[in-house]
Order: sequence, then C-alpha cells, then structure tokens
Amino acid sequence: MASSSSSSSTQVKKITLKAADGKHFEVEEPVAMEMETVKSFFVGNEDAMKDMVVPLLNVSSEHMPAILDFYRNHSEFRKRTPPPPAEEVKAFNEAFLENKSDEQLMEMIMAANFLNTKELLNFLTEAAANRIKNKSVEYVRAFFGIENDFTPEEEARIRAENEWAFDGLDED
Amino acid sequence: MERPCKKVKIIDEIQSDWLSNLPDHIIHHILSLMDTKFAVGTCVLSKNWRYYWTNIHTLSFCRSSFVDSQVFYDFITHVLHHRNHLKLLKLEIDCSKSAISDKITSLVFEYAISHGFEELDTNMIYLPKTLFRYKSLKTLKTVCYFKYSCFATLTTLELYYVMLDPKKDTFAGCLNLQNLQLIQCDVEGVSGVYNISAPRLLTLQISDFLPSRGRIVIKAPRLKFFTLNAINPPRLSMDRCRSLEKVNVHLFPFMDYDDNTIFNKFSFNHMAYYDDKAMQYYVFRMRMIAMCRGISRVKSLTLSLNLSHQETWKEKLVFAFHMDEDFDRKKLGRAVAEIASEELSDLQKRLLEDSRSAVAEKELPSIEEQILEMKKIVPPLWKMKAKTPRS
Repeated sequence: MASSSSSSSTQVKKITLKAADGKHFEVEEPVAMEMETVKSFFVGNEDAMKDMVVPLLNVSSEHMPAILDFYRNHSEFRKRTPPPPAEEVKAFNEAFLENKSDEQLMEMIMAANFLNTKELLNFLTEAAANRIKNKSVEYVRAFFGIENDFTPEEEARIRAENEWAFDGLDED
Repeated sequence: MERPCKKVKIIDEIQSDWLSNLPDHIIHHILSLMDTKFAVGTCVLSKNWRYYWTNIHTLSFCRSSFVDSQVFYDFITHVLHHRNHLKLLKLEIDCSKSAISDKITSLVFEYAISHGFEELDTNMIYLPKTLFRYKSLKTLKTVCYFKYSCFATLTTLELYYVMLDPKKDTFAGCLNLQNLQLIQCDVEGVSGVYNISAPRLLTLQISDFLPSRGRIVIKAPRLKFFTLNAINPPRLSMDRCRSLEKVNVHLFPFMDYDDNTIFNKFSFNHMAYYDDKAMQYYVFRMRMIAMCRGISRVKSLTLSLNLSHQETWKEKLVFAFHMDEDFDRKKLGRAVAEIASEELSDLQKRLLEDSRSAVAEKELPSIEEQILEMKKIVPPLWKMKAKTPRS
C-alpha cells in the first residue's frame, strides 16, 4: 500500500499501524520510531517496514491522532534551534489535555505505557498526579474507578493506623 | 503483603476493563510525584490500594503540611518504617516556613543514604554532616553554600539564593558537573572578578546574578549552552569556552518608560542633558557592548528584551544571529547595542502611543515567528549596522 501512494507523496517512508479496534494509520517513519514498541518490532528486520502492519493492542483509534500529534510536535521541539521557549511547550501540552476526560487520560496513559515512550508517559502521569493532588478520597476513587471494598470499620481502622496522613485534612 | 497478584488479562478485557488495569508501576510513579502525605492517604481507597504507597520512589516531605513538628516527626517515622526497601530515587524536603529538628533530619538522611538516593531537593539551611560523606548524589538543588565538589558524582547542581565566595573557585572540583544553574545568587564582598570553572560543564544558566559590579569569568572548555536572565547586561568573559554553541540572553532592563525624556533629550555624544534616565540608558548600552565582547566566540546568539510593563511578560526578540566565518566578531557588541537601542526606542514610542500597553503587547508575534523574521532580515541589517552609528 505504501508503494501505491508513492506517486503523490514524497520519499518519506510510511509505516502502517493498526489500532486496537482495527483501524489503520499511515505514519511517517521518524514519527513511528518515537514509539519504542514499534521500533523494536523492526529491529533486525528493517526490510519489513514497507509491507508490515504493526498491531498496537492497547491503543484505541480514538487516541491515535492526538498521540501522533504529540510525537510530531515534541520531536520538532527537540530539533529546533534555539530551543522553543517553555511557554510554547506548555501551551501545546495544555491544549493537548484540554477537554480530555479522566477516563481518556487513563486510556492514553495505558497507550503510552504500551508504546513505551517515556516522554509521553511522564507527561501524562504528571497530568494525572496534578488532577488528584490534594483531592478528597471520594474524588480519587472516582478518578481511578476504584470501588471501595472496605467495611466502614476496616476503613476507620486503616485511617487510624495512618492518622498522620489525614492530619489537618478536611473530609468531605 | 496481601496485595492480590494482577495477571495480564487478554486484550478484550483490557479494552473493556481498563480502569482496574493501570499497571502497578504507573500507579507507584503517579504517587511518587506528590507530597508523600497525600500518597500515604491513598491507603484508604480500597484493599488493592492499601499498600501501593509503600512502593513510591520519591519521598517528598513538606513541614507546612503538618500542624507541629511532633506530628511531622511521627509521620516521617511511620513512612520510613513502612516503605518497601526499594531503591530511593529522590528526596524532597520543604521546610520553608519553619525549621526542622536535627532528630528528623538525621533520621531522613540516614534512610535516604542507605537506600541509595541520587537526587536531593531541599531548602534546608543546614545539611547534616553524614551527607557529605555520601558518594552517589547526582542532582542537588540547595540554598546552602559548601564545598559542592565533595559529591564526586554530581552532574546537576541548582543553587538558589546562595552567597558565593569570590576567593574560591567553587565549581572547579566538581569533575562530573554537566548542568549548573545559579538562581538569584550573590557574591560576598565587592570583588572584581568571579570565576566559574568546571571541566565538564555542558549547560549553564545564570538568572538574576545580583552583583552588578565586577565581572563573571567562565572557564568551561566543554560548555555548549549558556542562558542568561538578567536585569541589565553583566560583564562576562567566556574566552575559555571553546565549544560554545548557543547563548540565549534575556534582559529585563529596568527603566522608566513613563515619560519620553530619555529619547528626546538624550544624545550619545553630548552628555550635557543627561538625567538619571538618560544615564541608565547610556549605562545599558555600554554594558551591552561589553557583554557581547565577552561572548563573541559563540556560534549562535539570541537576545530578547522584555520591555513590557510588569503585568505582561511577553518578550521581544531583538537579535538572533548565526555567526559565520566572515563575521567581524569585534564589531558584534556595537551592532547588538545599536539594534537593541533602536528596539528600545521603537518599543518605548509604541508604548507611549498606546498607553494601554496591553493592546500593543498582544500584537507581538511569538518569539519563534520573530526569530524567523530575524533570520530573514538580520544579515542585511548587520551590514547596515556595521557602519559607524555616530555621524
């Protein structure tokens, strides 16, 4: 399929990625190589790039465009001279997370973990940390989708065992 | 530990049941990014979560999160006792509002040292002696002045508000130091020259180095990137930095823009009219020339001026230059000073025309767009500026 589109596109090699729900994405090679998982797929087998479709089991097609956009922008930031000002990177990162629900953030963390890209994973986990910092127990439970399986007595006991952690906190 | 073992589930389940499948190491990492007090608090979320916090790789203790030092001490004891005996990456201690006792300090540092920590970030005024015999520290952020070279493995050093001793070559002994940041540091006394020498230094950032007198002499043969944030251009000498690639200078000149006397009354050749503002301007220009002389070895130089009123911190890039071979480095200082002066006067005029400066500020393109613009116009501009500005 890469050869058929070569008439219109330039010489940039493309790699086909297949999201968990079966949708295909054609991605420029340098962008695809940002993902360690994809990179390791081709180690010692570089010729296969043209006709192989790389299955990405934990990445839904919903998040692929955003994730690819992140790689493209951040690799451009790294290459730029002089380096981009912190505000520009911050603005991009903020826009990236805008309108993303907690659930979507979690899914993207899973995807970044699967794709094995440290930069994206660090950025997303930090975002998750910022969303739950100093929030109530109930809020954090909802955030991670945790069901409270403690009996009230058990919960009270554990609270007492770790009383210092709750000192001065407002309960709600 | 009664944590149930998580098995890798088949793909369909991961899709439908992602909530419970965030891998443990990611949860540990997220909890490591927060105040340890909060991380410990997650033990009440559910049975699964009861012991997650014991695997955090960073300890972050903040004195002001606790009512008194006894509770703080009890909390720390509890955490150190229950944390799994894994390697510790980082220790953060924030005691900005009140001092913490020697007892707490030695307890925490003994633990951190025995767990091989590599990174320390603290605003403690005194660090315990045991730390100075520890040989594995790689990153240090501190407000204390001491012999940093006792940490042979140190690669990153960030100093805040430190009073440096001008008689000592403070960083020369830090043989592995690659990144150095000096934030609002000062030099004791009124010495003429302050030396920064570091054999392996790659990046250096100096922000608001307070002494306005004297000269900073940087001897770092491997230094590649230098960032300077300053109110006015300092006197620099970087002749020994033979690998220097990029210098970014951000200046926030302290001047009064509220009236137009500077530019109307003042002429460089006739000092008769000078008042305080004119003097400021003159000094700024002279300093700019002197600073550029000190960094003429660099391959690429960007200079941005922030002339906005305090509420908007938008910067205006005034100079981005790639030094090529035939560039007359001796004239760099004058050229930059000329361009900067012109920008100063342009901007000042605009600010006056539009006393609601916010409007004018919004029209400024981003620094990147400005750099692109600059690259197009700077070479001819440079040739133009090479001729003597005084006529």
